[in-house]
Amino acid sequence: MSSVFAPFPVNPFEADVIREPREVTYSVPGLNDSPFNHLISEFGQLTVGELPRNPIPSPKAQLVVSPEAGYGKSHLLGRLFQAVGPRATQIYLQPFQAPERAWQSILLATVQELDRPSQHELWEETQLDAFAMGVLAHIAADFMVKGGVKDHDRLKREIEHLRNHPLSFLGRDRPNRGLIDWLKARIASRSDLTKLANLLKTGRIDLRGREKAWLQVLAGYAFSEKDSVERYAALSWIRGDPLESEEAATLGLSAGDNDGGVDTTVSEINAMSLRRLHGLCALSSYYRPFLFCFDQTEVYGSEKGLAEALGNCISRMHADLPNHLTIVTTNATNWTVDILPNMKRADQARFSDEIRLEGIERGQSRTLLAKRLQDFRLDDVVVDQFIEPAWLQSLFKAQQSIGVRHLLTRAAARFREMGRPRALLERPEPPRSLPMMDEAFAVEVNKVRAKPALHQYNQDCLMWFTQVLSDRFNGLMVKKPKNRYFSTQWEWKDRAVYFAFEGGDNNGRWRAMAKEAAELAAGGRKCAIVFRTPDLKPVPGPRWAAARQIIDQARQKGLCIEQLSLDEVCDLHAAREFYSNSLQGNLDFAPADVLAWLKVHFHPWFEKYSSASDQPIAEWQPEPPRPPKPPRSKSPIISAAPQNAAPPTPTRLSEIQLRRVVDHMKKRLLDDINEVLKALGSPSLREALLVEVEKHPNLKAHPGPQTIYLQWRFA
Amino acid sequence: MAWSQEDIVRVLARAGAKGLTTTALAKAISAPATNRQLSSVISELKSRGAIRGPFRMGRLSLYFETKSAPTREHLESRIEDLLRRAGTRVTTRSDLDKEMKGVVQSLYKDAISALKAEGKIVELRNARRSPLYVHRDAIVEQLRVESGGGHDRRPLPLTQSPKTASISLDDIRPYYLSLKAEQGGISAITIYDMLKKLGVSKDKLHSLLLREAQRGRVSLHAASTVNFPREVMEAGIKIEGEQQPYVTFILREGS
Repeated sequence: MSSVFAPFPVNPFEADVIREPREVTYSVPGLNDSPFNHLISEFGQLTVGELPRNPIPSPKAQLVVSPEAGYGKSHLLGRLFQAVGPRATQIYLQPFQAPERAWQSILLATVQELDRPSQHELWEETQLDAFAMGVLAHIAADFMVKGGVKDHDRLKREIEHLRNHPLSFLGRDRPNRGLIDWLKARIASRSDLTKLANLLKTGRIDLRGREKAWLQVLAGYAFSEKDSVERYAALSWIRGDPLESEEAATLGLSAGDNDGGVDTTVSEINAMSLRRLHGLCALSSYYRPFLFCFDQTEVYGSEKGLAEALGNCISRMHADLPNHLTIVTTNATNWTVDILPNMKRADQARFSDEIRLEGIERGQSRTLLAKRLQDFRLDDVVVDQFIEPAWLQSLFKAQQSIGVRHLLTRAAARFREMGRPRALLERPEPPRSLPMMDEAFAVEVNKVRAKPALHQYNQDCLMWFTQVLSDRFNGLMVKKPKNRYFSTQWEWKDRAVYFAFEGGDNNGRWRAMAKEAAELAAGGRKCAIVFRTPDLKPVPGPRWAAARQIIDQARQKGLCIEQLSLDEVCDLHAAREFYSNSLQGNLDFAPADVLAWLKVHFHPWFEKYSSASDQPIAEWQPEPPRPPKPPRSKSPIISAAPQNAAPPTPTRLSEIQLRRVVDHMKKRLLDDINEVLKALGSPSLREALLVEVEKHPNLKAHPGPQTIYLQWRFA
Repeated sequence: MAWSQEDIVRVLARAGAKGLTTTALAKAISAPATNRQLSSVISELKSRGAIRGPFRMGRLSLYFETKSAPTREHLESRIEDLLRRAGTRVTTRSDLDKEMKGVVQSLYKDAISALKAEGKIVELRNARRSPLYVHRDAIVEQLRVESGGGHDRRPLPLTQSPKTASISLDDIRPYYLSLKAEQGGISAITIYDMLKKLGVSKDKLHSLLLREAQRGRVSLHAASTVNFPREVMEAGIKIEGEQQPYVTFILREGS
């Protein structure tokens, strides 16, 4: 047998789990067409009629059921994302961890998805850019038609064109400055803003009294530079966070519209989050409907309260949020055994009939295997040699269709086997040993590392670490006290550690948190921890005078603001994903074994955080002040804004660097990322390189246990 | 005692669906009918589930070997067949009684009640006449209502339990649809649940499913939940070379 497979450092079939639907680039013709067409048709009902539309009641949540793990749930979502493209605002939702904070988690994930670079517009434009520009273009057009400009009859064609192609007028590549300035001036004018807000009301868009605020926030986001204060403030407002007075001023918001509470309860934050989601969905009458996809739902089956909360959320979304389609994917037996029995009967009725995924048949299997091999530039003779008819037939001995992952697992084993040296091939095949847990986890960590979008703050992951992974470590009991912020507690007989989950940076809220931390720690042998990730602004902010003092005092008493490194974030996010995969049957390891292994792996973390209160609290050294960022906008309001700029987004490669990468990869076709970085001359460009790989249609990352391989794929 | 428990079971099995009175049974095994020992052995065999009775049929009280004993399910099936054949033409109670002459009256009454309760037949009444019956399917067809699938979660018509001979997909389909409805319209049914409903041997169901899977009319699946009890996993089909047993199956459309 040929040893053409031997030199490959990457097995073309080992990528058998979709980590994120946007990574889907190829679908086998005919496979799962029926569920796909059904979902397209359901979504189509939300796009009937001319824009702006009256709010369209949302259909039932579409329940996509896989007969077992590995039939392509996430792949179907990816295919759907591609197919609906710019017709939908696409939101991919991973499981929430705390039932009492479900809406907050859904909104946080929604805002992160909205702020991601769009797959369908320019890289510089996000989904929220497109959404905001679409809404504002229609509002502007309505305003013009209703007498906002003289002789609007003469401009009929232009106004129609603005409605049909908002991004070509307002988009970042060729903005119509005149139109943008005119629109900004209307929004800055109190009387015109009132007129614009009234247009929303007459269009039956119910924003519960926040019509003006939404217009100001959308304009602040759409017409400001990336990393600007306005844009950051707009995102904070949509998340329901309170804004600093300067931030509210940059958007022009009144004090009443800055409605995110500084000192609020969990239920108030949750209610605010649902209101914001309602606002987004209501506004989508003016542009693209929302597509919410709940994936990896097996996690909800791990706790009764989570399954119940999922049912409740789906029920409320169906009843209260217009203009959206919700899709829920699940494995059949996880659904019937773990989730459905814990869901209220009334909530169960909010799901559609089962939309069932099908297995892959023999002919389709051949197509998929050939495509994977051809992506590695293997010629037809080798492909035919690999997909030997008798071998392929043997996979379908028991039945006519099988799970795609099952096919890929078998193909991966065959690829390994055919790559063995000829001398070894003549000996009997050794029994296949399962990959070791640490090797499988290392691959998972590199998968997270390869996707910069997965490095963002994720409160559900942090909650999972403090509530699930840590449970029973060294005799600790996990409790959920009714504190306003520090809602998770590790308790031993003689000490306690509290955790709060806050991704915002409002100094008022941090003051309140610092006070609560100081009160909790007052009894001694207690401490209060808040995690921060690299994508968040530093706390305390450079201009926080009074708050810094309170926070410093709280630090002396036991408040600990724990800054996680990117490596730690990747480790933690990979851990939850790894456990979730075991719950779904995606791994060869039982969930209990995975959890036990992860507890050992994270032992140093537990040690560090559980002994935090035993350590004498060191004198805290405040961060050196950072140099102020030069203002980027020409707006006089912006230059007056605080230098409390947004955290840096991952940098990108320069055009010359990207060309060098492309030339290198075209020659090498498959190479270790470290070699590519050497060619670039700087190992520090790893994150920037991964950002380019995520975006580039011909580059693909193959995470392995030791490193990440990059592949050049021919379109 | 010249006869044994096995003699009684064998004689009743030979009598089949006709059954035997105590006198005829005693005669067949050469025991006195009034023998106390015979009564106590009959009681023991009944408690073991080897024989059933006595069922009052006309003036006779009969015993049966379990496999041949009349069952409510059997009568339900006969009644349903009769009413289904009648279509939209209503059947009076007296007509139904005539057709069911000679059956065990208590089971017959139970069967009518069960069919009504499960919504499989409809009883119509007016002031003067005896009750009238019509099968649900005839009404559903007239009203052009969708039946079965995920839309209708009421129990669906069950045919006679296929305890004898080999089984086919037609035998298991009513049970499959009923189980599917019970779990909210999700198609993947556990082999364990089907075995419980059918009352056939595991091997018999396994061989049917494997045969039909090869023909593409059934698909077989491993469990994704880790919370199935041991007995559910053990009822699955184990294939050499596969790590996981097939625990659930799906009847594909058009099968």
